[in-house]
Amino acid sequence: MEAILRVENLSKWYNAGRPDEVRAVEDISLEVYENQYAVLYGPSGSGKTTLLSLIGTLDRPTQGRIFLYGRDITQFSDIELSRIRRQTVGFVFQSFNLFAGLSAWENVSYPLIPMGVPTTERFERAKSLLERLGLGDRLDHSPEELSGGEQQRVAIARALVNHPRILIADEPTSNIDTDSVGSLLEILTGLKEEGKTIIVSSHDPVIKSRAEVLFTLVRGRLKGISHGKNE
Amino acid sequence: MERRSRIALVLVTLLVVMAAIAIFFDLQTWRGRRAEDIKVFQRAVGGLGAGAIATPIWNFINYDPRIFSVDDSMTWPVPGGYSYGPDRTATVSYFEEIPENQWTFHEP
Amino acid sequence: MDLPRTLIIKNLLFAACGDLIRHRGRSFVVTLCLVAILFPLVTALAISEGLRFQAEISIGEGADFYVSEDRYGGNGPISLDHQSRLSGLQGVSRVTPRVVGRTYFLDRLIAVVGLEPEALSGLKTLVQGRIPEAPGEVLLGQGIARAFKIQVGMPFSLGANPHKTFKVTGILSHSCLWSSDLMLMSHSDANEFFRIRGLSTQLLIYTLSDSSPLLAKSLIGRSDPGGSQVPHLRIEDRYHTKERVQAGFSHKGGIFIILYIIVATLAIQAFLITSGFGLRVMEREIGVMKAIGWRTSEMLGEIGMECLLISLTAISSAILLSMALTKGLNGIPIAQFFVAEVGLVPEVEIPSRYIPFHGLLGLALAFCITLSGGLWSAWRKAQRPPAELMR
Repeated sequence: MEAILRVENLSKWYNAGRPDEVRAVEDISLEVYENQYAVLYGPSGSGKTTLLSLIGTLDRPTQGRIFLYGRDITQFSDIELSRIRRQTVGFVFQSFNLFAGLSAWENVSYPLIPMGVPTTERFERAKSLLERLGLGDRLDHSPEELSGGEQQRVAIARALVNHPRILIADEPTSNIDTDSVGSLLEILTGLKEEGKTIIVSSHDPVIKSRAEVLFTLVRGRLKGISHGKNE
Repeated sequence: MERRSRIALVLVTLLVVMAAIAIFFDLQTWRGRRAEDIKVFQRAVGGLGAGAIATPIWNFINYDPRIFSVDDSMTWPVPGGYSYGPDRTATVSYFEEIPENQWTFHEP
Repeated sequence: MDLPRTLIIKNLLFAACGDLIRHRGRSFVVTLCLVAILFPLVTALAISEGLRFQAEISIGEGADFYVSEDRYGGNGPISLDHQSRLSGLQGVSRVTPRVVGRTYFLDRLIAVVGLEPEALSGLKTLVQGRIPEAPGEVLLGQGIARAFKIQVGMPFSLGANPHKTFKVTGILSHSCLWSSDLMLMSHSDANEFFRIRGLSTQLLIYTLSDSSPLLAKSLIGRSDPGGSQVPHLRIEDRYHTKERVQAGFSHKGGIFIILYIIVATLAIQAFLITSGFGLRVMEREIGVMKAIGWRTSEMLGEIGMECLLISLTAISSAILLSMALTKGLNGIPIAQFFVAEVGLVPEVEIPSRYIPFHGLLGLALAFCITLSGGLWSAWRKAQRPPAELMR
C-alpha cells in the first residue's frame, strides 16, 4: 500500500541566511497512509505547526518535497493548491480562525460560497454537520457567543464541509476546556472510522495515546516514529 | 448575516434607483417648461449670455463672445508672460479669442 | 450565462455585502470619503451642464449674425446707417439693433440691454407687470429686483446718468443665469442713458433658412466697404460661436475632470497608506479564505463586488446630496467656485442639470479608486502563503 502523504527531506527556515535565521523544520521525512490516525507530538516550539502548515499546503517549504497521492505538491501552482485545500484537505486551526459577525452555519458554509452552491443547500449541509457535532441549537450563533469547545466544533465542521479525505488539526485541544476534550477525541475517532485520514499535532498526552502512528518532533527534527496506540 | 446582506442590497438598490429617478426627473424638468422659458427670453433679447458669469464683470468675452470677441485680459501681463483674467481658472467656461490673420504682404 | 456562474456571482455579491456589514466601520469611512470626493465633482459637472444647456439655447435662439464695427482691434458700436444696407442683402429676413452695456445698480453690476419695442413685446409671458411702452420704462431681472426689493411702478435713476429717470413696469421671471442681473429697455432709452446717438452695440441679422452660408460670404465681402477711413466690420456668426462656446465648456470641464481625478486618486492612496486602516484584519481574513479553499480569483471577485457596492452607494448618495444642495440651497457654498462672482450665498439662481453621464463618470471614478486601493493590495497579499498571512 502506498502512502497517501510522503514528505522527503522537508525543511522550513525563516529569515534564511540572516543572523536571526530560524530553522523551524529541519530535514524531515515521513509517510502517512490512508485512514491512519497520525499524531505529530512534541513540546511547544518543536515545529509541529510549521510541519502541519507545510503538509496542509498553507506554506511553502524552503527545501524538500511533499507528495500527496503520489503528486509533488511543492511544485503546484496557486490554483492547484487551492483545489487541494478545497477538495482533499480540511484544516482545523489552533485558534479556530472563524469569522466574527458570521453565524456558525455561515462560517461552516463559507468554503462553499465561491463554488456556486445555493444558499439553501449551503445551509442544509452546514446544519447537518453542526447537528452531527452537537451544535444543532447553535446554528445562528456567532463565534463570540460560543464557548471554546463549540468554536472548535464549528471549525471542524467547516473543515469537513467539502468532504475532504484528509483532516488536519493543529493543537485541537489547546484552546478548549478539559470537558470538551473527550467529545473532541470522539469526533476525531468517528471521522477516522468513516475512512478519513486524520493528522493531528499536539503536546497533549491524551491525543498522543490515540495515535496509530506517532511522529515525535524535537527542535524541528523528527526524533522518532512509533506505531500502535501509545501511552 | 444572510438576511442583513439581503436588506443591505435592497437598500443599495433603492438608493441607486432613487438617484436614477432624480436624474430622470431633472432631465424632464429641463426639457419642459424651463427650456421653453429660456427660449422665450433668448428669442426676445436676440441671444444674451453664454459663459459662467451672470454679468460682464472682468470682460465681455466670457459673458458672451458675440458681444465682444476680443480677449482684453491678454493686455494684462503677469510676470512670466502669462496674462489671464480671473475667469480663466475660476469658472467652468472660458471662451478663447479666435486669432484672425490680418497680415497681407504687398510687393514693393 | 450558465446557472453555476450566476450562482457564483450571486454568492460573491452576498458575501461581499456581508463582509461590508461585518467591517462596518471601515465600510462607512471609505464610503464617506468617496462621497466627499464625488459630491463636489458631481455638483460642478451639474452646474457646468446646466450653464451649457442654457448657453446652447442662447445661441440657438439668437441671431444668425452679430455685426459691429472694428474699433482699435476690438468690437465697437456700429452706425445705425448700416441697418438699411444690411437689410437689403439677399437672404436677410430682418436686422435689429441691440445695445448691450453695463452699469452699477447701487453696488451691483448689471447688464443693460436696449431692444426695439417689437423685441420687448416677445417677453410678455415672462413678465410680472407689463412690457415697457413709454420712454423711460424698464424691465428688471429678478435677481436685481429681489436684492434691492424693487417693486413694479418704482421710479429711479442711476449714477452713470442721473438725468435719465426710469420706471419699473415689470419684473422678469427667472429663466436663465443672464436674465437675473439685467435691465431691459428700449433701444432709444439705452442710447440716451449711455449718451450715445446714431449707434448701437451691434446689429443682429436674422436670415431666411438655408441662407446663412451664402450670406456669410456676402457679409464678409462687405465688411470692408473700401477706403482706409471707412470702418471695418466685425462679424460673429452663430455657427462659429456655437463651436467656440462648446469648446469653452468642454475644455474647462475636461481639465477640471482630469485634475480632479488625479488629486482624488492621490489623496485616497495617501490616506490608505498613512492610515493602514483595517489592513491587518484584511490580511488575516485573506489568509483564512485561501486556507479554506478560496482561489485568488474568487477572492478578488468578492473584493471587486465590495468595491462596486461601495461605489454605487457613494455615487448615489453624492448625486442625491448634490441635488439637495443645488436645487434646495441654490449651490451654497460650492457654486462660487464654478460661477463667477456669485459669492457664498448666490443671489442669482444657479442652473444645475444632472445627466446620466455624470453618474456613470462618478461611478467609474469611485470604482477605480476603491479597486486601486483594495484589489491591488489584496492581490499582493494573496501571493503570499496563507500561513504567513494568518501569523
